[in-house]
Amino acid sequence: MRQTLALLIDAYRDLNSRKLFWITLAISGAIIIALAMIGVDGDAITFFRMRLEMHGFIDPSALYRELIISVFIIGIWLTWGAIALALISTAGVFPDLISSGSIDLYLSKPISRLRLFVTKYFTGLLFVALQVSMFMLGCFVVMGIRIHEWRPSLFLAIPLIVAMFSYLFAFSTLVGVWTRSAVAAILLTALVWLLCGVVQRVEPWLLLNRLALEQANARIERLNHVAPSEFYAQQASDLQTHERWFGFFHQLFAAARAILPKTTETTNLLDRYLMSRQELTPSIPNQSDDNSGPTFFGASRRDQDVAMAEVQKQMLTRTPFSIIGSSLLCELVVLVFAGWLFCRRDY
Amino acid sequence: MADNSWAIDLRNVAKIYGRRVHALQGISMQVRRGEVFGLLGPNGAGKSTLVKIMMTVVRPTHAEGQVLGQRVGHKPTLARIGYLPENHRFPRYLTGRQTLEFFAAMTKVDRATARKRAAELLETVRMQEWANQKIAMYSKGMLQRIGLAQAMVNDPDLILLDEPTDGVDPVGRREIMEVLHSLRQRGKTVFINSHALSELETICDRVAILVKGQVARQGTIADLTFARLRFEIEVEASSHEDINRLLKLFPANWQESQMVIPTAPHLPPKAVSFWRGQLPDGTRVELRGAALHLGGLEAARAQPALDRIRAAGFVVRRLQQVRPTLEELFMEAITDPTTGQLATPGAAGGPTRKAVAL
Repeated sequence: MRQTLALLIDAYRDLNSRKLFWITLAISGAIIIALAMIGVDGDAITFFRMRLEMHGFIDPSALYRELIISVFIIGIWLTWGAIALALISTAGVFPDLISSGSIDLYLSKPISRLRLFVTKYFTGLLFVALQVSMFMLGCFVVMGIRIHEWRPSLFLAIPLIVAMFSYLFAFSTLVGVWTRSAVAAILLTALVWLLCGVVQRVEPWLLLNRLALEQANARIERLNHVAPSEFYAQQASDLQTHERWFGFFHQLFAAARAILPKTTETTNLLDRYLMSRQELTPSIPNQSDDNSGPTFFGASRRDQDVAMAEVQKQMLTRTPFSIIGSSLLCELVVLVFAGWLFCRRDY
Repeated sequence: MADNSWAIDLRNVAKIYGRRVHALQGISMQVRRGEVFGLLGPNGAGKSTLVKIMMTVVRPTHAEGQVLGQRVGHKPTLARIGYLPENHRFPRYLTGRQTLEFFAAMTKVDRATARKRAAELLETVRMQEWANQKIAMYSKGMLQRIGLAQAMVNDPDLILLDEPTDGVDPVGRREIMEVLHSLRQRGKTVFINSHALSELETICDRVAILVKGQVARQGTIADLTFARLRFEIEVEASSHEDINRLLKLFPANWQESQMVIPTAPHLPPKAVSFWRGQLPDGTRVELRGAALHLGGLEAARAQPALDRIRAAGFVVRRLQQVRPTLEELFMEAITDPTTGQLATPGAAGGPTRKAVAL
C-alpha cells in the first residue's frame, strides 16, 4: 500500500511538471468560461447581451444541453482534444520508466514487476481522470447556474471518457514497452484510434446500405409480383448482388468492430443520459410510395430513411455493458501482452 | 544449510543474451558480511550484468546461491539491499529530498523514518543546501551523491554500488570514500563495481576481476599481490645492444611479447615490447625496458642476479622490492599471457569477435 501510494503521489508530481497538463487545464478553463457566457432566458439563448429567439421552434435548454454540452464540449473537446493531449502527455510514461538507469531503480525495490506495471498503468489514467473531473465539475456548476438544470448525469462523462482513454492508453503502453519510444507510442496509438473511428463509422454505414438494399429489393419484388417485367427482374438481380457485397463487407467490419475498442460509441453513450427518450427514438418516415429522388445502388431515398430508422434502433439496442465490456476485454488482452513483455524483459 | 557469514554467495551464475552473447559464464563469488568487496573488469566483462542479476533487473540464464541468505531473485530481500545503478536517472521533477523519500517508500520504509533518514543522509552526502531543488538542476557529481544517499535510505545490510565515483570531483570522491569507510565501520557489506582502481585499493578488503564473463582473479588484495611480489633491478641500458646483453646474461627461456599500455586520456594506447621467461631454478624473470624483474620473496634470490649484472659492467640504478598495484593486477588479468594482448571489450560470443580498434 505504501508503495502504491508513493507511485500515485509520484505520478501526480509528474503530471504537475508537464506543461501539457496545464495547457489542457487552461483550455478546459477557457471553455468553461465561454460556456458561462451562454445562458437561457425564456425562449431565447443569450450570449453576453445578444439574444437568439427560438420562437418555440426548439427548447433553448435542450439546445444548450444537447448541442453545446453534448456535441461541442463533450463530443469534440473531451473526446478528441483532451484525449489527444492526454495521449501525447502520457505516451512517455512507460518509455521513461523502462529507460536505462531508471528501471534499475524501480526493479531493485521489493515490488513485483507485475504490480509495478499495473500501478504505473493506472497512474497513467490519472491525467484524464483529473482533467475530466475538474472540467465536468465546471460544466455542472455553469449549467446549473445558467439554465437552472442541475444534472448529476453529467458526471457520467468521467468514467466514460476515462474508459475511452484507457482503451487507447493500453495500446500506447504496449507500443511504449515494446519500442521504448514515446514517439512510436503516440503514432501507433493515433493509428489505432483512427482505425477504431473508421470502423465505428463505416460499419453502421454498411449496415444502413445493406438494409436499404434489402428494403429496395423487397419493394422491387412486390412490384414485379404485381406487374412482372424483365426490367424489374433485372433490377432485383442487381440489388441482390449489391446487397450481397454490402452484407459481406458489413460482416467484415462488424467483426472488426467486435474486436476493437469502441471509442466513439463509448462516449456517445453519454447522449443516452443527456437526451430525452423522445429525442433518441428514431423517426420512421410515413408509409408513402414516394420513391423519387436520387438512389444509391438502386435504393431510393425512402429505402434509406427506413433503413436509417432501423440502424438507429439497432444502435440503441447495443447496451453499455456490451460496448464497454467488449472494449475493456480488448484493452485487457493488449495489457496482458504489454505486461508480459514488461515482466519478461531484461533491462 | 546456508552459511550466514556470506552476504553474497553466488555459484555458477550464467547469462546468455540471445543464444550467442555469453555475458556471464558460470560465475562463482563470495562476499563476507561486513566487508567491502570490489568487482573489477574491462568494459563488457559482465560486471553490471552480475549486479543486475542480484538486483532482479536482469534474469539469469542460470543461478545458484544466495544473497543475504535468500535465493537470488528473492524480491522481499531487496528491502534489505541498497543499490546505486550506473548512469542512474532519477525523476527530474522531484527534489533531492522527495527523491530520497520516494525511494524510501518504495523499499517500504514508513513515512516518519523516511523523512528522518532523508534529512540525515542529505547531510551525510553534503546535499542539504540543495535538498529542495529539483533534480533537473543537479550536476553529475550531485546526482551521484543523491544516488548514494538513495542507496542507503532503507538502512540496508548490503549496498551495491555501480561506479559510485563516476563524474565526481576529487573532493567528492574522497567524501564518498569516507562514507564507504563509515558503512564498513557500521558492519554493512559494500559491493563496489568500479574502474577507479586506486580508490578500490584503498577501501576494498577483497576484489574479484571479471574478464569476458569469468572470474579471472578473486581474493584479498594482500593475497593477490603477495603472490606477485618481485624485485626490480633497474640498470643503465638504453640501446638494443644493452638489452641483448642483458638477455644473454640470464639463461632463461626468453620470449618476446608486446603489451598494449594506456598512455593518456583521449590518446591511443601504445604497444611496448618486453621479454618474459623462467630461469633454470624456476625464478620468473621479466625485462621491461631497462628494468629487470625477478619474481620471489627472498632478497637472497636477487643477489646472484645483481652480481652478474654488475660483473657485466652495467650500472645498477635502483633495487627494490615491488608489490604490484591493483592496476597492475588488473592489467595482468586482462592480458592474454601468450599473446600479451589486452582482452577486447565486450562479452564472449558477442560482435567483438571482430578486431576492435583500441
